[in-house]
Amino acid sequence: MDIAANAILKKKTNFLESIRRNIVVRRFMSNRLAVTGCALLTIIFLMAIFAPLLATQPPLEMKVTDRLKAPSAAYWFGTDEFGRDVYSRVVHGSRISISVGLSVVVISSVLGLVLGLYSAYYRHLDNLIMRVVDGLMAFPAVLLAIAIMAALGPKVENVIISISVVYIPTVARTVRSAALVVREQTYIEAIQALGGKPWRIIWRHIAPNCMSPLIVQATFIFAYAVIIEASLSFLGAGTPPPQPSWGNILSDGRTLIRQAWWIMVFPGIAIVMTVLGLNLIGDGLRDLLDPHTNKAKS
Amino acid sequence: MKKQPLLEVRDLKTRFSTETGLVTAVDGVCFQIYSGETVGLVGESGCGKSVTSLSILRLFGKHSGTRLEGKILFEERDLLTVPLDEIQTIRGNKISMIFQDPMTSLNPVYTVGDQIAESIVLHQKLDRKQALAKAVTMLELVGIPSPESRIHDYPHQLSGGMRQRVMIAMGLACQPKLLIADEPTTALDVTIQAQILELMQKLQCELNMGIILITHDLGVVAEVCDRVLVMYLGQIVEECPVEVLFDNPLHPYTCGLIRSIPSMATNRREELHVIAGMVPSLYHVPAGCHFAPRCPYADAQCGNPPELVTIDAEHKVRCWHPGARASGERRLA
Amino acid sequence: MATQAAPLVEVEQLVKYFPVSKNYFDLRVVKAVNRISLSIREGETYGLVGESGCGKSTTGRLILRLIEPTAGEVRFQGKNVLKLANEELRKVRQDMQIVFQDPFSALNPRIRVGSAIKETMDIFEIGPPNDRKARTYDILDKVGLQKDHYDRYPHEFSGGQRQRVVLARALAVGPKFVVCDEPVSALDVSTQSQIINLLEKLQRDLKLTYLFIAHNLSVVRHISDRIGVMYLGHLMEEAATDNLFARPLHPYTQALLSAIPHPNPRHKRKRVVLSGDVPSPLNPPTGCVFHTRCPIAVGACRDTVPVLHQVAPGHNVACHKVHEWNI
Repeated sequence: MDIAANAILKKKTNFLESIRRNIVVRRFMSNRLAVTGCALLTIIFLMAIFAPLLATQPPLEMKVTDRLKAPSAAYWFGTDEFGRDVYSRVVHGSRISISVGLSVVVISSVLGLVLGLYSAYYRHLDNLIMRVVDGLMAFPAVLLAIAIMAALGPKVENVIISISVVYIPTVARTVRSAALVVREQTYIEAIQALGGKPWRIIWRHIAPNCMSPLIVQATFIFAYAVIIEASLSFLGAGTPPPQPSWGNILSDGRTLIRQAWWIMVFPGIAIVMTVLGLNLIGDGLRDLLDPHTNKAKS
Repeated sequence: MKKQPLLEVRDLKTRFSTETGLVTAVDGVCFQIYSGETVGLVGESGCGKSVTSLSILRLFGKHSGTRLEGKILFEERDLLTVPLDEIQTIRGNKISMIFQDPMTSLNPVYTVGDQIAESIVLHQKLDRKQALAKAVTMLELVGIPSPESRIHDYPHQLSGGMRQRVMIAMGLACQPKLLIADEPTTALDVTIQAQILELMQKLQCELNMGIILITHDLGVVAEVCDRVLVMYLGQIVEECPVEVLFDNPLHPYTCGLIRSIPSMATNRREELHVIAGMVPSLYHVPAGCHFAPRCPYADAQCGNPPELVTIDAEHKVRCWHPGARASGERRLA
Repeated sequence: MATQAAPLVEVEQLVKYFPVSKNYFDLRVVKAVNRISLSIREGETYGLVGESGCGKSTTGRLILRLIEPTAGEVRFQGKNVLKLANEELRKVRQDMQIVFQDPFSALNPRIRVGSAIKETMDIFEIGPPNDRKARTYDILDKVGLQKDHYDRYPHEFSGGQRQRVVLARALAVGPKFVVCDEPVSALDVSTQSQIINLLEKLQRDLKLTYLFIAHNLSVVRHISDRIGVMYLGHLMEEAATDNLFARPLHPYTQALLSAIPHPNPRHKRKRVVLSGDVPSPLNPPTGCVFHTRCPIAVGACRDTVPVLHQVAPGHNVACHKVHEWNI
């Protein structure tokens, strides 16, 4: 029993050691901007996870006596026109932004990956899929999202669906172009010569080699999803009030910007932090995973 | 009687600082090149033959972390100490270089005439028209048919052999005293290779150039070289005239290389000679004789680094047991 | 050594045209392989030589049906490979394998070499699943690698070692016939001889038949029993190795052989240096494709395509002038 535990422990320390010594991790850590991005994003994530603990007030509670209070010790970010605590609403709003962002990344990456891989592998599917993708990409992102929201009705789930639909084509394009390159590699020919069936070739041999651009793109899509979610909510087509989201807090504050600047400024800062953090990480990853800068890896 | 060498390299050391530490790619290389002779620089990938040639022209990026030591004497000047802008006047003018891959060494957006003329304008203070006329004569010299119309072609319109000829024409445009050819025929087919080698020899006679020919093909060396330098892990291990290299190689590495190539003379289907093991990485250069771990004749003495010793006037070898094949057999007997 | 053995692979009138469209109305084709017929006997090594772009690699891939031929027939043990449906083709692939020129791109960088080799046994369900790892160790040993190489990634290997892995992967399924497409051209001199020796040893041990494609004539001479010489998609000459080198008959073969640099500085020979370049396969010459560079071309060479003609037992030449020589 003890021996087994020891073995596991040893394996674990070996694993950690190998991560620390991993040249990729080391390079990422030496990129100061990317590390800053990680720190920013960690703050936002912690905020979303521990929102109920961090919030000083329930986010929906109105205190009619404390309307439009400026930031103070009691209300760190002030209050809005219904007397709700802006700080608590921003903290809770992070849950919407992060969950929408993450869901969009997962859904659009998975579906975009499938579409991209299959259209790269089967040339006759390629024309069909890529024309649909072209059609979707012809719409400006926000307009398309608004149109889908209008059709589906304002619900958080629908926000996720509409933003995912907007970004599936982008992912599909990226994956396809990476997969087309991989498909021409000799090892793909080798596995064909070895009688590998298409699913094996696609998922075991092509897909893992398309991951680098996909990961980079996923971080940027995360950032765009946060922005579009906020835009939709700002326009009243996103997260339905009174549930707090950075976008609808901004929207609530826009008529009061002269009297109560704090209602708009703090959710604005939160959006900027998230998007900046994600972009810095994305840039860092791109430098890291780009084969042109990565020649001397081995 | 003693001739003045055209180029003399003394104790050249080239080091790169990389993420994993300092690497010595060229480790104390000495040699001379005389006018009118062709010297082959032979070795396997990673032996430092290309780095040596790049070092002569200091063709490394400013920030690549390259450190050069030693002396490279050309026309009574040390190329390692002259300022970089003066090196520019030597590059392509008095010393030219031809690279292996003619596709990536030519700029795809300019016509070949422009590219040849460029270096002529730069170094010989001719105007563009004269330079283009000179480009035509150069293309004619390297055997390109109808050069007047060819100078208006872009590199992609030419075949591999033609591109290599253009590269040679560019290299020779200013009638250099020294030509460094880095694997000039490796990317070409044998019949084209034969044409290019013949061309280089013909031009050498006409222009009395010195040529450094970098190659891994011992067949090419035998065809065109007068003298040979064999490199292994950044060091010259043997230096001798080409006939001696094939008749009486003394370094075990040279012997192994020569015996391991299948040739028209060997018996078919006979097992080829194999040098044991593989070339170590430059990060793990063996102490003492670099070749010792792969050498069949290595003994305790080989733990110390051997010097390049002179066997006779033209034959130098870096080995504690030169010509060990014979004595090795004696040891067995 | 295997003159009376039955043919294992027979290729008849194999043709491959690649379409290249310059624009919508101008659909031209590259005639990569033009009516090639050859037969490879069980246990022998058939060398296919020629300069780049002559269609030798395409021929190798056509035989394995990695590329669909335009016309012709490929028979493996009497079965027409080109008529097989998907499932049957997969089964035949267990018997026919390929080794590639570039060992760097032939291995998936994200898959450990052990599982890359084992994967092929999974595909063909060779042996019980639990035995496959042990069998992989066996194969690694056969190609001269160690057990602890199993868990390494391709980038940790040198070129020669990778080529051993590629070989191991091809041999894991137990093929009878292996197409070696320039297997040593990307390697250093000292590694080259190791791989050549290994190929010969494996051939003896596993009774393999090779189609050995290369442009290095010394290597081909060393390893092949018979040799076919290709030029611009056509087979120009075919003979037993010793015959071909002793008495090359086709003017192209003569030029090709004389162009080999000889590793002996005293060996001064008369060289047939061909003038000009290989014509583009997009626009090949009419008649004999070699006539533009041929030192002995006559009028007929410009008009009619010469057919492969037997001049001596086992020695075939496609040249109009061949009748004039006294053989």
